[in-house]
Amino acid sequence: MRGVRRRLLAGCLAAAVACAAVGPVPLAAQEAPDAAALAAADSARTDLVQPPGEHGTDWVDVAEFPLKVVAFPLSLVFVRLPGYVAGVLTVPRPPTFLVRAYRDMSAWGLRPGVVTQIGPRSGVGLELQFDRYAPFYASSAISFRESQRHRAGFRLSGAAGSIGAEAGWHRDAEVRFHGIGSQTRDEEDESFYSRDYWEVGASGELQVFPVLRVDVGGAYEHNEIDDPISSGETSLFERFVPEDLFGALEETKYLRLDGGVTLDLTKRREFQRRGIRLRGGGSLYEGVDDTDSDFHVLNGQAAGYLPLNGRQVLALSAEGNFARSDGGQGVPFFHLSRLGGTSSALGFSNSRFHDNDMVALQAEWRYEVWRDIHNTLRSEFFLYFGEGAVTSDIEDLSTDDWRASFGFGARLASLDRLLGLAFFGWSDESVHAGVRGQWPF
Amino acid sequence: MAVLNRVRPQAHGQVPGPAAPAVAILAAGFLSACGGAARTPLPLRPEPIAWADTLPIPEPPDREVVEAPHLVNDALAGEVSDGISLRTAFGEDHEALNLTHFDDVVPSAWFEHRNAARPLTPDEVRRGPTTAAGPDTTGAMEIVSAKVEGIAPGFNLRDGRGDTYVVKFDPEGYLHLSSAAGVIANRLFHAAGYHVPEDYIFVFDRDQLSVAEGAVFVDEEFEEHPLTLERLEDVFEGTDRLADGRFLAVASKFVAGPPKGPFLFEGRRGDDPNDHFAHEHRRELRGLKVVASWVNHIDIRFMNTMDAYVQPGYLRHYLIDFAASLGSGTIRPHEPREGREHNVDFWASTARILTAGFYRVGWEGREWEVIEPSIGWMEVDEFDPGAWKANWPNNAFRNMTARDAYWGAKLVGSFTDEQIRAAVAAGELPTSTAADTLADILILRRDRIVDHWYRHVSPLENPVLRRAAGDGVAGATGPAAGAAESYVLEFDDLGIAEGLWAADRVRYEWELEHDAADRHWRGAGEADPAGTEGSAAARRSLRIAATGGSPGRVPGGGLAGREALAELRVRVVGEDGRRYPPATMWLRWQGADAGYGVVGLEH
Repeated sequence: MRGVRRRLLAGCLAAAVACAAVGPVPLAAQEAPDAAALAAADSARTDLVQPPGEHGTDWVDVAEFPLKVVAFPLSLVFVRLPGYVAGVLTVPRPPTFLVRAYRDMSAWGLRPGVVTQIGPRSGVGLELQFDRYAPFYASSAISFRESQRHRAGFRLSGAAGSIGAEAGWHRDAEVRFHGIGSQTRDEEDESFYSRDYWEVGASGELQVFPVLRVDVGGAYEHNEIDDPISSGETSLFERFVPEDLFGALEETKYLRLDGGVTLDLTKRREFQRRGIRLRGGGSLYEGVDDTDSDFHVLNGQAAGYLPLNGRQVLALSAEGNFARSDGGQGVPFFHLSRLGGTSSALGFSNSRFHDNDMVALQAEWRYEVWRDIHNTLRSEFFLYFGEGAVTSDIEDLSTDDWRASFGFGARLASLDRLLGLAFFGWSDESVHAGVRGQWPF
Repeated sequence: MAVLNRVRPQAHGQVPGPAAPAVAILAAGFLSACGGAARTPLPLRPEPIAWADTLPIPEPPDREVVEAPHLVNDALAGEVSDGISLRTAFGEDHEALNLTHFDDVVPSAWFEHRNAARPLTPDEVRRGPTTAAGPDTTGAMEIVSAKVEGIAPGFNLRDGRGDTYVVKFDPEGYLHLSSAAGVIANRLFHAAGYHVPEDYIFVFDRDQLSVAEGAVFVDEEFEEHPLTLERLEDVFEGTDRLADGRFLAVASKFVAGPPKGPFLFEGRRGDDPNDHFAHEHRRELRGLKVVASWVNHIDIRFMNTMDAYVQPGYLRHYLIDFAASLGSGTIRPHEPREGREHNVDFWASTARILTAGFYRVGWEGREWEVIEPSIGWMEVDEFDPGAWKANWPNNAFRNMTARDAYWGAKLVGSFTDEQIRAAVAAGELPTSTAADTLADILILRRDRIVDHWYRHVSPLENPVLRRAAGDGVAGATGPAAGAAESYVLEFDDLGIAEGLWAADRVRYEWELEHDAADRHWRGAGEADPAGTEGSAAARRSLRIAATGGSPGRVPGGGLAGREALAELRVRVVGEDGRRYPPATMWLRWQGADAGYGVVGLEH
């Protein structure tokens, strides 16, 4: 029997050698191996004496075994699961019914989407846009906190700029308010309110030069303040005396004129922005009907990007927002300047501080840690430091008004824009973590 | 015989996995630590059998492997576990398993000995795996399917001979870039010994093409559409034409036999009974890293491999798609990062995070410019073979030891300047200056690889041991005869052959141990020219005798197995005093008359 096997083995190997010597031959033109040939090959394989196909266990495997036991759940969570998800997301496959339906709807002009910010502290929401008859459009969005934004209008865009008009109704469902001034208390003063407002207006922007853009606009707005939508949150009306806060009890109506200028002297080299960008603007509010209030708001920002090398940049921002009464009852509390969270002072909650004037100095040290092979995406880590203050008048700003915050996080950017960032922020009163779809500098 | 039984192949599926009971693993570990197969002298291990993996198997199904989980696993878990590996820390790296007694591999479905075994003529290198001049342009050429979207659009073409080719184009502004790189790398991998498809530079007039009846293309929605020449407009618009208006592309002929999906750089394919050795422990795949580093094939990953079911019914393992080789990044020239850092490099990214971006390596912020549009960019002066990385790590490359790397470097070092220029000629670069430049770069990188990896071992080859003339002890026994016994060891010193060190400056330290005869000889000295007629200058001759240590006795007859084996370790000592890791020559006692004979070699 052993002799037969050896002959079979020799025969199979001889055939294999002969085939290998003449190179691969397509099987399509040949008969696939028959059962006898397969059986002979199986038999030959059984008789082959070769080195082992795997290494045996040795003392290193024994020593590493406890490490592997510990690493197994970590690997499951941080490697296998992301790998599986990445596989599910990236494997080429025909689009599902939902994807097809989405694409068909989009092609028709009806586009559902996810929005990260409808208004202050809105949370993530869903939006449905309709632009089948562009340049006219309509959209409706609602967040999980029940903030809402419904608007319709038109916008004509060209290389030199754009012009458009829009009417809309908004609801900011749970806006945070801690009172006015820099010395308010974090938890004790925390309250929330909702703001509903109509707005009808027009706006335009003009690219005067490649580096200079001017935008102007005007609108009518109608504001109404109420308890927060969620009954679980402390109402501003419980925490504060509403009579002391202009705009809390009465409906307010304004005609508004907006204007701004942006001088963008930054350049992009691959992903990296370098240079300076300056922006200044303002809004003039005139109370109408029974609203006895006129005021204006001026704002400005200077942002600088100083590359330390091709993969590290120091990003600096100085920002100010100044609200001033021009008569009557002055600035309604919801149009006061704000500091915290959304676009400044990461270590504080959103809109943590309110007052007439706000200044914020921010610095980020961004350093690239990864870039994809096709240079379409890159990830940066950043260290953040910010100092900000609110005050009733910038001339009265004292050292006690300044509040510091620190943070770090990761940014994901495409070649020309930020896709999102995640951060941890600290201040002397709280710690915050968050995800943002946009960032002011 | 007992030893042979111990190292017989384990059946598929019987390898203890991580889920095996801890007790079994612990017990196996301690038992194995007392004498595992890996510690068995090479000559006592069975050798792999040539072509054994080309035995007929039932046709396996085509398989689709989802790439992302493997990439994530390799880039994260693989890198982390490798970074903190006790095996690496204690120098207990596993060597490759499919080794002959002379530290080589046998021809197989994975690899064939070509240039390193028998120098190919320059024309053979230039032709590579090709059997014709490319698609037959004298007859009808029909497009049978197309990929009109994605980053590298192209189409499948059937020529008058009925052969089918994958046709892909160069990126706009870089005519010749990926086509030349792909074909040149194809020739070099083939001459090195790997299985590759037939790749051709394909020049054609658009009017020669027609669309086959019923041809369709599948869009990104997986929907089929009738294929027309108009549909291919984007494909032609996305590339440049030659001066005479014709198009240039790379045409890769379908390999023989139905494709069965890619092969992985780890584990074994469950539906291939021939697939005996775990891929991460195959010498060809470990050493492939060195060859890939030579031609800068950064995109070497399992998706650029293919198994094909060929006659008489076995899986042959191919490397395919070399468009991201040399200076080409397929759709643009390479950049300095490529070849120096993985696409997702866990440790480099971690270092940057922990050092707030201060961790930087040489390529970062480096000024660079394209060498020439048809070449792209690749590392020249700062090419460091030991630091080269593919875009994605894999277990075979991670497991590469100095011995594997030396084996790969021998493949690279086997190419002469003339052969390299012949391979470059296959790429049909637009000017002789470009061809010369690229060839010079490859020659420089080859030399750098040889210089680097040959110095990780003592590169001694083809050892022959014979009794020294007139030692007067043939047939004698006893301590006195043992002391008088002497040999002449002849070997090729590849360091001399490659000019790493001068023959008259290099010394050799050697040590012979034969426990069964209480022999522990050692000595050092310069080697003489071998003197064998026709031998090259690198062929050296070294006297081995009991000049130091314990002379022992002349072994008696009847020794077998381990007792008959002696170990002769010879190390190169450079003129700067650097002592290279020794080459271990295994000797077998053949009786008092014949003395020792070389039966194995490990580097």
